[in-house]
Amino acid sequence: MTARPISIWEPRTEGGATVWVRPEPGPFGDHYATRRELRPKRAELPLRVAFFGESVAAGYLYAPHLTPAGVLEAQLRAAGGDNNFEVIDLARTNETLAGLLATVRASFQINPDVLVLFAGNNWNLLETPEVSSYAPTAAARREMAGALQADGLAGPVRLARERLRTIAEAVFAEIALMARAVGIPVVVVVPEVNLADWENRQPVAWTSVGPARWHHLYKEAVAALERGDAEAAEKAARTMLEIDGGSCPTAWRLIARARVALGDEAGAAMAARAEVDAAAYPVLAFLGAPQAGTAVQDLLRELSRRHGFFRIDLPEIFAAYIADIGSPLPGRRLFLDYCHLTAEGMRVAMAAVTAVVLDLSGMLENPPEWRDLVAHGPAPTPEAEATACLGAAIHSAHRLLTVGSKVPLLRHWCAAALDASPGIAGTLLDLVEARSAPCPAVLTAAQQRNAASPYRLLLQHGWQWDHLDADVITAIRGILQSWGLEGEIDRRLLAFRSVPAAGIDLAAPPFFFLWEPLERFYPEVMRLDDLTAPAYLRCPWPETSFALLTAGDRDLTIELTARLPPSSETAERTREVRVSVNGQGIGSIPATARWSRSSLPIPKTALAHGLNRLTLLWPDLPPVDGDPLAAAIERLASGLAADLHPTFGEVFSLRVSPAAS
Amino acid sequence: MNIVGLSAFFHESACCLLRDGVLVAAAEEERFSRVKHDSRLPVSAFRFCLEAGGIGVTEVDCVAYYEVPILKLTRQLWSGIPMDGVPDPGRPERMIREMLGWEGPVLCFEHHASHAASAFFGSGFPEAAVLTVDGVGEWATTTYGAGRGAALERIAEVEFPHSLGLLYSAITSWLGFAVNDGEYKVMGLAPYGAPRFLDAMRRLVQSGPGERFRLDLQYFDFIRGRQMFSPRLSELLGAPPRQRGDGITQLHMDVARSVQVVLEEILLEKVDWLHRQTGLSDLCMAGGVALNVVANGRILREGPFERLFVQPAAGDSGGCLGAAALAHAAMTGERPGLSTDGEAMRHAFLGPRWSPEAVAALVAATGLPAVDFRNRTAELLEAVVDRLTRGEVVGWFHGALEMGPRALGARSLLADPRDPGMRDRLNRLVKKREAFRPFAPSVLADHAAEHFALDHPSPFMLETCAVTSPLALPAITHVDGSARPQTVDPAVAPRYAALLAAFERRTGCPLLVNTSFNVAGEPIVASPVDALLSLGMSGASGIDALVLEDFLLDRADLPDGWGERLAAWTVPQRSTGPRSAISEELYTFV
Repeated sequence: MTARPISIWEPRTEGGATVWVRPEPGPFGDHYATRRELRPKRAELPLRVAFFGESVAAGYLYAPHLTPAGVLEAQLRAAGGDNNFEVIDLARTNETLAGLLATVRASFQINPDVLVLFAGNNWNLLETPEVSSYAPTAAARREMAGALQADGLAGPVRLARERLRTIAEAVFAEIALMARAVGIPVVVVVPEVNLADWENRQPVAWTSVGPARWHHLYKEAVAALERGDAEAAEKAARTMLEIDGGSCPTAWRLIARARVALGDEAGAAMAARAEVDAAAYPVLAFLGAPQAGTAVQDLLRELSRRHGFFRIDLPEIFAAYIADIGSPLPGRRLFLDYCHLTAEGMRVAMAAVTAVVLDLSGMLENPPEWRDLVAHGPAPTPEAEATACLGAAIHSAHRLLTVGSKVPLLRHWCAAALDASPGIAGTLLDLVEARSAPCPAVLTAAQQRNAASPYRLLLQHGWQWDHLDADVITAIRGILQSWGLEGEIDRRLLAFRSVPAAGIDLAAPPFFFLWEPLERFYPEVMRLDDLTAPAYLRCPWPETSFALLTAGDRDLTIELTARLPPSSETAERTREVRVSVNGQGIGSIPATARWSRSSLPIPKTALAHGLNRLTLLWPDLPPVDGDPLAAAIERLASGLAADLHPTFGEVFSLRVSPAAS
Repeated sequence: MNIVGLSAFFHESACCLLRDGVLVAAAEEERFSRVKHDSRLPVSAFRFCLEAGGIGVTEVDCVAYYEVPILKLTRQLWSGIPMDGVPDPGRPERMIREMLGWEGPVLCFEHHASHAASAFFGSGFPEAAVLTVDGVGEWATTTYGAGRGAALERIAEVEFPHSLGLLYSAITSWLGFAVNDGEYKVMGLAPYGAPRFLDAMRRLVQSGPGERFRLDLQYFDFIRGRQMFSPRLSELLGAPPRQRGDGITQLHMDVARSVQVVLEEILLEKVDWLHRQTGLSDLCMAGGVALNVVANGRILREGPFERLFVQPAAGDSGGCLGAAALAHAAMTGERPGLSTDGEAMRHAFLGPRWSPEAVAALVAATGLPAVDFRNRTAELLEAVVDRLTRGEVVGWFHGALEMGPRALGARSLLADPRDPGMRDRLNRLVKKREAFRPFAPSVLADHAAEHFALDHPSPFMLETCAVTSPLALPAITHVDGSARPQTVDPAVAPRYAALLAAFERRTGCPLLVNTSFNVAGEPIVASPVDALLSLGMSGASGIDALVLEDFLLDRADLPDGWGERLAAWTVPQRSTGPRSAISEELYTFV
């Protein structure tokens, strides 16, 4: 039989035998394990475990230095004998169910004894991307319209879940068939997600009550949390839920926060999980984070039962583990971000797998409990740990949307990086320099230094993102202040991106100076599916912030070209866009439903030296005309993409220049 | 009055800004998006034009679009082209409103009217005959007209499916080249062949009386949108179509030569007819077929017109210039001059430029070993000449990006035209393209007549002529002894002219090989970052040195592994979009 590729490992004949060899990874790594060769198993021992899955299983942010497969192998050998086990790592970042099936199928060429499937976090994003109001084809948009028409905002969720079930059932059935045919067991790991530290703040979709009320309630809830009134916060959040029908994760996060404040850990966990579930499908404009919601976890449990697979339920394992260590919700000890595991998280998760595999192997009379195995397994080098922590900060800056500032979490990760290996301080400075350079990071001298350092940032660390990453820079500056390096950071920030004499447009695509990732999550802004991005910025939250880099030694002028959402009630009315710098109001700019341009001075007294946060505070949403959701459905039905949520304003340009003297 | 012109949704999309009838800025979207032949709405080019004009969206008076969608729809429906969903003539205006955010008037002008206006109003001729020839617009594929002052009159037209552009594209496809991209290759291949398929070509297209010609549709299949030609074409030519990547045989060269000859014959005939109809002495041309420089050369030498003006962006991207010009004429009743003095367009440097300070900042950020020649231009030019005379290929980035398909000394790869191995090296290692393709020269305008049978300026490289130089110029002389020179006027491109002069002082040769600054499969570089990426990506035997305004970088001095790092970064970055936005199998109709 002709040998077929196994994932990216290509077959080749060596000395009459088939060897599968992978291409060399590039300078920024790739999505696959670095093991160069795969060979068919020839002897009874070591027992061969083939390990499959997505980025979590691939050790995202730690790989190739530390991976779950490597931890699993070390734990198996520690408990079951050095020569008795080997783990073949076939996990890959961005894995889909079709890819998983193809790799499992191909892996039988190297005779595995056990299959371990650790997947599910990608299923909300990668399996049904066509269920979106921005789907690339007219047919998919029409289908989306049908789903919305039938069940409102729950319709697309139902449609996506049904599709996912169909795909997953077929994939698991075939895996079961193959495994049965050769008589090997399959172990399924049900993934858990970060409930404590990951948040999914998203704007609400059009609703019958109208989003204006929802946003008022949001402000009320946040204010209540800030003054320590958790009951009031929860009350407001529950009213938000009544308005959005539970379709928006934001209210659930507010409730989770309130419950934590009230000391109700179970209630907080329930709300946080409901948040993950509500964020699982991008029925709104924004991509959620890869996370396995309840529906995915339950589907994995059901399919495991159906096919007699051995199941490891990480929600249960992690709950037990954090109970042991006195932590209320699974959070930063186990997770680097939404779903990727810390070294400790890997050890806990793989301990559970090890216990099952040892039991299946029959090699030990009294196989250990998973708790006994957690201490085993390789620790990352200080450099790898530091790099992963920094990667967590960068990654979170790119995807995390919190209620309130996320800088504290980013500071945690930057501090953790420095704690692990103080030598990474130079990399933090290089990151600031690369992020503020007038070119892609890869072209910078900072990147060249990093490539030669022990803290090499790879594609997985978000090195190729070319945005300013203001939150990360703020976090780094905060941490390195105690090292006396804030001046060094400011110098790098201002070297290339400070306001030039000719002025600079902070709102020009591709929105380098946007403070938050929110507005970048429109599929066309992300340049997905070859979609055309608009020439202006859509602002779907009541505030839109930009990073402004200036020495702070001169007055500036901002010139805003913007418009507000149309409404028959406010059509011709001029309303005010308030402007703040670093949280301090500096004035307002008139705007209407048509583009208009106005200026506002920024006195230098309002400016800090270095990074400043310039925020546009949009007027309240005007009363809606007709039924905007029905209008969106009508667009989708005619094959056109549609926003399912309101925008507060649109910015054509936000030009900042030195004030005329 | 500020008028934005747009061409989009067909081939290369583009945008321009016309202020009081004068062209302020223009650029193709592909230069920004880095997707070759990008046909999407030119959002980035739109923003660039406003920025270059120093205006905001609130100061635009009108957007002019280069086609009439409803007319195009009637042709699409007639053709029965399968489409995803219902044909949507509202799409262009909807996209203009939704994606550009444009709130004001949108004026639509016919495709060939836009081509005609771009040529006539850019020519500076007070009056002239106007010929437009391409694949197809709405219905017209060829139009004949006359321009006088602010008025353009159409005398006659030929309608789809009878199209000289589609004829040429069909043969391009039969020869195994990408439609709408490989036509240049057919033209370059033609001189290697003998016209032994003239009879066959004359069966494909019959020139009728007057303005008319007809395709014999049994040899074509483009109407139904499956492929360009039918199996009968292969029967007629007695050979199967060449598959992409197959070797090029004498038969292929002969087919190329034959279609080129027939195209030239018909164009000469029609130009003669147009001259008789108008009695005018000057001719303006636009449309994709007007980029056939060999035909242009013959029209000028053998045709009845005294002067010929071909708009530098004669293809669809240049339609935006014409649409904007027509809008200006319609709104003011005045003739748009396009250039500030109302004379002929002298240059196409209408795209983005980078200040020396911006380039200096970029160079500093990269930490690359670049030599700073600020305020030392003469020394910079001598350093470039050093490298050219050593046989090196130099990437030359200076001033505003060119509009149109030709690099004209702003984003060029330069080399010594006397080097007998240079053509092969450029084709094989730098451009990574077919060995037969010729390169064009730039020549100081004052010296052009010493080296070419050329008695007038040719600033846009849009005609061929015989090489008559006393020098051996193997890198720019085609197999038939012709070349496609660009004459460089020091008043228009002072630094580039100074470089040519410096090269002449050193070598006695006032010419350089000038080919577009891009690597295989990429659009011409637009920004200094694109240029640096191309330098890194061009491989070990590619571009030897790069001039970024006042800075000079040598590839040999780049850090080890730099190119590999760029390649590793670039592939995932760019994998989200198609490498080419057009179908390579079929003329893009929708």
